[in-house]
Amino acid sequence: MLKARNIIFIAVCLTLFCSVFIYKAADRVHILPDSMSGVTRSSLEGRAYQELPKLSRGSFNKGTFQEEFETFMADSFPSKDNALLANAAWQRNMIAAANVPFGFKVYPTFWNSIRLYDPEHKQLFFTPGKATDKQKEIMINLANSITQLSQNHDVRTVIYVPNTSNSCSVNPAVDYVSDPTTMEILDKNFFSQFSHDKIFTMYPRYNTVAERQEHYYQTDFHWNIHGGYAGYVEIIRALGFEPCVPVEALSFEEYGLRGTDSRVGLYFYNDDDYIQDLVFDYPAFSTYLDGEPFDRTPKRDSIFNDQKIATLGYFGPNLSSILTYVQNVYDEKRGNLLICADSFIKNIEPMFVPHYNEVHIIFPVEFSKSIDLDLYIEENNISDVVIVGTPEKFFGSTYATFFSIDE
Amino acid sequence: MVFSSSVFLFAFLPIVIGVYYFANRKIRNVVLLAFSLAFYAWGEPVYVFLMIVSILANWTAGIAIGKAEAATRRRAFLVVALLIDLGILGFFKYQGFLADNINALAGSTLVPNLELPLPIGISFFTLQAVSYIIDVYTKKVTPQKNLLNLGMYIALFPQLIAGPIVRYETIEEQVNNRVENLDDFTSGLRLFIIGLAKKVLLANNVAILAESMMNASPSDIGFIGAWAGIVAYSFQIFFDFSGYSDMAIGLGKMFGFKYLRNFNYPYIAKSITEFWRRWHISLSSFFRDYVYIPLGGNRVAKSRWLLNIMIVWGLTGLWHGAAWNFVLWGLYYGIILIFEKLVWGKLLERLPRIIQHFYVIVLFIIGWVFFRATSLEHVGGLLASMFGLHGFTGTMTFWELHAWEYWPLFIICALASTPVIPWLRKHIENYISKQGGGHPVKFEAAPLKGNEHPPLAGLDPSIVLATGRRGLVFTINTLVDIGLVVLLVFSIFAIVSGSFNPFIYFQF
Repeated sequence: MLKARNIIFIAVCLTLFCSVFIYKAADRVHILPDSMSGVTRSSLEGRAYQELPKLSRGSFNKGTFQEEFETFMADSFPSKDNALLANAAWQRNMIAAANVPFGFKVYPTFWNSIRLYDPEHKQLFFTPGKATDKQKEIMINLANSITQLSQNHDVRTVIYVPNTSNSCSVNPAVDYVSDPTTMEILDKNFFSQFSHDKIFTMYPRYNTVAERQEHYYQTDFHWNIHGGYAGYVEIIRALGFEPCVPVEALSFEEYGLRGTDSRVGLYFYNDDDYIQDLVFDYPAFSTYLDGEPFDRTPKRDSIFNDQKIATLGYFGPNLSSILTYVQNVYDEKRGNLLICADSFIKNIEPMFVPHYNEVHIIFPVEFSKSIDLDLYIEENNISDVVIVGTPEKFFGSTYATFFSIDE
Repeated sequence: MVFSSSVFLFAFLPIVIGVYYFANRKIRNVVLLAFSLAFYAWGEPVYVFLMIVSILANWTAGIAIGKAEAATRRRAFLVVALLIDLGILGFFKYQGFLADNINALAGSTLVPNLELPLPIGISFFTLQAVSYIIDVYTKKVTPQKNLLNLGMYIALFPQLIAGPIVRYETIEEQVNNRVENLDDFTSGLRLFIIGLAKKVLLANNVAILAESMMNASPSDIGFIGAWAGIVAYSFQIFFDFSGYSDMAIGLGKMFGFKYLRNFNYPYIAKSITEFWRRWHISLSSFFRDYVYIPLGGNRVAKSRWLLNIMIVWGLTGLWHGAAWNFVLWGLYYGIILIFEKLVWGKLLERLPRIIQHFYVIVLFIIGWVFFRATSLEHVGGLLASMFGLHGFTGTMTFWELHAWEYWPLFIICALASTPVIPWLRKHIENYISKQGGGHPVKFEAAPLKGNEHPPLAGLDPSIVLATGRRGLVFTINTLVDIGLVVLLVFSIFAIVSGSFNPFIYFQF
């Protein structure tokens, strides 16, 4: 009996040690279920799996071959995404147990994770950043640059800051950390710098997590279509227009959203969070990327997949070139709009089209070319500028660099 | 290559097991040597040649010492071999340290710091080579005539890069005539899994807190952060190193080698003297046998004896790292040991056990401050925080420290630092023995001698013969095996997740 026990134990362990070989062999002879066969990409990590690296003396001596081979072996583990989730799950359960005597409303999704889980609302939050004097300096300089831009070209400028999870007041962790970077700090140090009557600053306010959840995803830091629409309404009203009204609401409830926070936080649930969209009766328009025709319609392929998992790839990627929406019928009464924004703009981009002849969109974070904003505004007859970005874009150097003005 | 890597678990290990057991017994040592060199070359593609040079030098010196008749010639060969071994170690490990200190004393750059990368495991395989050559000189062992066999001993991958320091005399017989069997293989595999789980599930996770607290400014983390950080580090270093030793001993067993245990529940010691009989046993016994005793040990004048102790502990500190904090850490233990021998040792023995444990825990935790700190200023800052000089939580909030997330893991670590599993096992065995009319099993949870074989996972099968309780024993042992498989699965999950995975003892 002891011998049998030993043999079974060895067999099980060696099977686990050989799991990569067995998995690769099974994949080669096509006996795996479709969901496990030919997997070349991790939806969780958002990257392509490492392929078998090529061995060369140089790569071996440098250690790059060894690093890539290590990644290759780890990536080749069967159903690796589930291994990641299981590893995070036991850690999260330990943290949840540790939290019992303290009763904190949020805790990390695994040890060392900066994503926080609010079990009461099934909401993922970000750990708030730390406010520093350097940030204040950055914000003052940025405010000066934007004011100068607006004054130089006599354009109306709206600055809209979505209420992201790390800076919003309903994030319980805002009360748990010292010197958090909150919207109030942005208000005090950035918005207060503007006195020019053609610059409008705004951000949404929520009193409870539940209230905020109507506008933001639970598994992603972005706003959902309702949050985006609310932002659009505020922006467009500030610019003196009446907002468009949706004619239909789409809801993809059967496809659970695997948002960035759930992927990075390794906490995936798909029951409560899903993609929604609004349909408008837009006037005919065309889209261009750097002057070339470009398809910017929502990518429904990322919704309708076999695994019933959706990502926000539905709204398309951030772009490194200038995206332009052009109404097919020109009206001289309409002006042109320049939007400088981050990914929050993506689900509301076309909503601005009915109000302008042209809508130019630049993603400063991804923008790969140099641009003279003054010249661009002049050459394209820009009448209004909209700046949208998470608070971090204003706390950090991203926008400060993009909008910096040569003295 | 590290044991807790995907390459090792999913490629190297199954291949080496397969090739080894399919190979003819006559060439199994060659198989192990080839795989060991490949194992080392994976992490050190260039320094593998340094190790080959070390093997050749020690093999030649061993043969020469063995053949030499005259004592002077034997001694000359010994000195040459030691100069080569310690010269290599000194050059690669201490050149920068020496250069920096000489330059600091001189006030100018007299000696350039070559900033050589430290060859992985050099401190371990060098001491193994030194023990071999000294044992040949003292005729404890006969010189290994087969170069490949000596090469396999020095380069054997299980203990190559982080110990234990396996003396040649321990496995001399096994190098030439070992017998592998199913029981040893399974027992080794179980020990390997226990070690892997210690490393991956305990050490790596407490390391997150330890790193975070130790890398922060002591004034930011305050009393709670400093204590949580250093307690986490105490668990990290224990489970990291003892886990690695378990894996090494287990792997050795899988290939028919029987290594001595390297850790024997050091954190339950009741004095620092006892602590060092339980911690890194292969290193402390190396310094005892190859440095302390040759210096005269305690059979000399009292002042010389005290000097011998301080020399040994200074060297022990220096072996751990080329930095003054390591030397201080070694001397700190030297001083405590002297005080235990001369001042409060007898008093300590009379105190209640709980106070003895408290005394040891506080001292080794403070010891780890010297060990982990990055500079003497850092030592001062951490100690100040530990004594509350930077407030309860420093400039951070309690939540922000994240220490609160780890207390269940600390409890698991604390339990796993004690012989609770052997204790439980023996009590179950006693219970079964009594039920079956057998004699109670003599229980010694954590024997002091330090060279006992690590316990097998599960109940002693011989108990079946004594009691006839086959079903119960089988059930318990099967449950233990299932538990071990679960540990292995979760360890694999952590490894493929690419979790935080530092090996502390690689830097030595």
